Amino acid sequence: MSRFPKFRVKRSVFAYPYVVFAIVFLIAPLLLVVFYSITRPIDNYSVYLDHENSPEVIIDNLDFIGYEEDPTLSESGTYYYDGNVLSVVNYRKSNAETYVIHFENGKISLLEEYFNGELFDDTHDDLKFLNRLTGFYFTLDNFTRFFNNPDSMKVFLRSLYIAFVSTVLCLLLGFPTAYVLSKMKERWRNFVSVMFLLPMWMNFLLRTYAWRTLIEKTGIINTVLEAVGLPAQNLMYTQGAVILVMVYDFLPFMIMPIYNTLIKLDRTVLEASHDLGANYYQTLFTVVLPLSLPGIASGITMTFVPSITAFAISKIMGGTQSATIGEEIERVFNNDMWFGSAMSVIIMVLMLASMFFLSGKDKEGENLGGGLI
Amino acid sequence: MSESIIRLENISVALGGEQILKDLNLTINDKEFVTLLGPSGCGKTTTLRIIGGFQRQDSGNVFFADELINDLPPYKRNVNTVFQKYALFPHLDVFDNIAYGLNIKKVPKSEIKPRVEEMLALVNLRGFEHRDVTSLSGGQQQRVAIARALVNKPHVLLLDEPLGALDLKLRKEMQIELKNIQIKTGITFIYVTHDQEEALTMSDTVVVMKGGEIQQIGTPQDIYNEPENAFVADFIGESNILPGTMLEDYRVEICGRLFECVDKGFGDDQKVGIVVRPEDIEIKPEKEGFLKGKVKSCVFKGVHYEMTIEQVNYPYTWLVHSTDAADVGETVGMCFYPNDIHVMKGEDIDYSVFSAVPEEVGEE
Repeated sequence: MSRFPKFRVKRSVFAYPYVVFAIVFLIAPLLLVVFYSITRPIDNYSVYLDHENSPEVIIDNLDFIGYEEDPTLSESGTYYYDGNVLSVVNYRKSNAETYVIHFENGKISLLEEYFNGELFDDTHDDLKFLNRLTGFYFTLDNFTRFFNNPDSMKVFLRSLYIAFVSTVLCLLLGFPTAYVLSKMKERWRNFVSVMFLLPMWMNFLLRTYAWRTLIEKTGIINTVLEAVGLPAQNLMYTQGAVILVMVYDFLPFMIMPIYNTLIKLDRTVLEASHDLGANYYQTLFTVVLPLSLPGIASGITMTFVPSITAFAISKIMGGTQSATIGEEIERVFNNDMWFGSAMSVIIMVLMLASMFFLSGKDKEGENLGGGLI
Repeated sequence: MSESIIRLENISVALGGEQILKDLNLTINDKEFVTLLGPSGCGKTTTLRIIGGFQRQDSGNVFFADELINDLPPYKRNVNTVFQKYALFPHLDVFDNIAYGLNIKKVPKSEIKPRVEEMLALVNLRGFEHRDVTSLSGGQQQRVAIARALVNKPHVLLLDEPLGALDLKLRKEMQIELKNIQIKTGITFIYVTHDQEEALTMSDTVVVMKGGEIQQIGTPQDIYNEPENAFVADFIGESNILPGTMLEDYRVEICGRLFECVDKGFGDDQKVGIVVRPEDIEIKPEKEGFLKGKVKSCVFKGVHYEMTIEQVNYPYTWLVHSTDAADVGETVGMCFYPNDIHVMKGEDIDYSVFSAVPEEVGEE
């Protein structure tokens, strides 16, 4: 008999903080992006402090706010601050709370589409951004805008194309490399695989810039070409340059998963194939290739996914005709994160779909992502 | 008469600095069931791999039907292998696994189907055509592996411990089945195992190997009844191996007592090794036995009792299998007949390695 009541804690209790951490830390940003993608901010909500010491309030384009109930705010014009106009505006739009803005005798502008960067960057850089997301509404406008906009569709399809070509090239280069690597003696194999991984230890931006110094107009390759009397090549700022660097950057991600499945291949299965009359090429195509499909699948995922979202490479190496969706998202996000979020979500769904499709090929599911050493 | 189909001539192999095969010579006759038997590391699998072409010998020649095939890659040899771990193609179903060799050889589709079905019938796997091989049991996978090899109608089938992963009951069934298949198809089987019982059950010829050398080649009866050396005697079944003296032809002295035997030609007064199988020893009352001993242990084994009996006056312990039990501590008589005494040349026998003889003997 114990004098104290037994106090027992389920052991799983100790796991909860980690679960919470994982959810908050990993999933929260993702959920935020998804949330942004299906909402729009309420426009004309932004308030800028214009010419100081002027007691005017300028309200532009109030027509779409639609304040039928308050005729004083139903049209564009100049209003004098009376200590309560803004409260009214905010009350109407957010439907919930009153937003209080502190300003001193200032002139207030309510501008349409304040998120259009040009408004503050150039002409209105004396304006002060005072309130940010004070209201939003759910909508699929961001998505429809993306699919209806021929420019963004063009960039999107171009990214798909660049990512596809890079992935195919990585596969064509990566599979034979991994195959040869897996056939090497163990000591050599370790050495050579380190050689393949070595560039990955350098920041990829540096590697990308290194390629630029190689192929730019006055770069090393052209210097050499001219030195031997050949015409200089215009390699920089082309789709080819983007693809080249993408292949260079992502090749290890293709080699390693394939290599991992290849070295795990049961050697007796290959012997069985020879035993049954298949020569080396027949064995390669009828046994090795089908059995390394899981590795190929994860290799493709690990190459295709980063190459479709890569923006730095196309920004550094590409011209206007090779902007990728990643670059586009980066550009848009600064001005309109709702639209940018929608673009990200579209890419994300595409990734998930391709991962799902490829994981069907990967029966054991253990090799997905297993290529990273 | 059967003629030789595979001949190994002076084969030597070293792997990783270790000599696996030492100057091995072996002739295998057509349509025979030959078993390479030996403890692990004796080079039996390496021998098989050399025949299959998976391992290159350092020196020596391999002949197939009197044709030198040293440089022939595995896929050009007219032999097929059943691998130890089956080595089925996990991405193909049962039918495609069996049809693999035929597909590679571009056999017309119309011919493949009946041949695969015939094989499935032979290995009792009808109706399994489109099962995933990874969903099959060990025994079924093994049958698929056998069918996959046999469908190519090889001249020689190599089997590398194919039953090693199966449980005892299944193994016994498969042994009989394999033997039947061999008789039915008339294909030469070269079978590698470390299980002496398996070797005795199935083989026409047993090749006992140790340390990369052949110890004895013979029929199962020869190997069991007339082991040529102590290793064979010890490896095949359980034996009492002890030193004796061959006084003259047909007369041998064991433990200070004279026995008649059926062996001759060792010369007079020669030290020899004596092999007596435990089941050949009869337990008698103390006075009726040729040799006396004190029962040290008696364990019931089902069919018989397994006894260890300490020889009186000599530091030997006999292993006896008898249907009659004896009390521990009792002194009993043992007797055996001329036919049961197997004599082998015994000058440099290391008796210490044999289970039934205590260590002191080996140190003599």
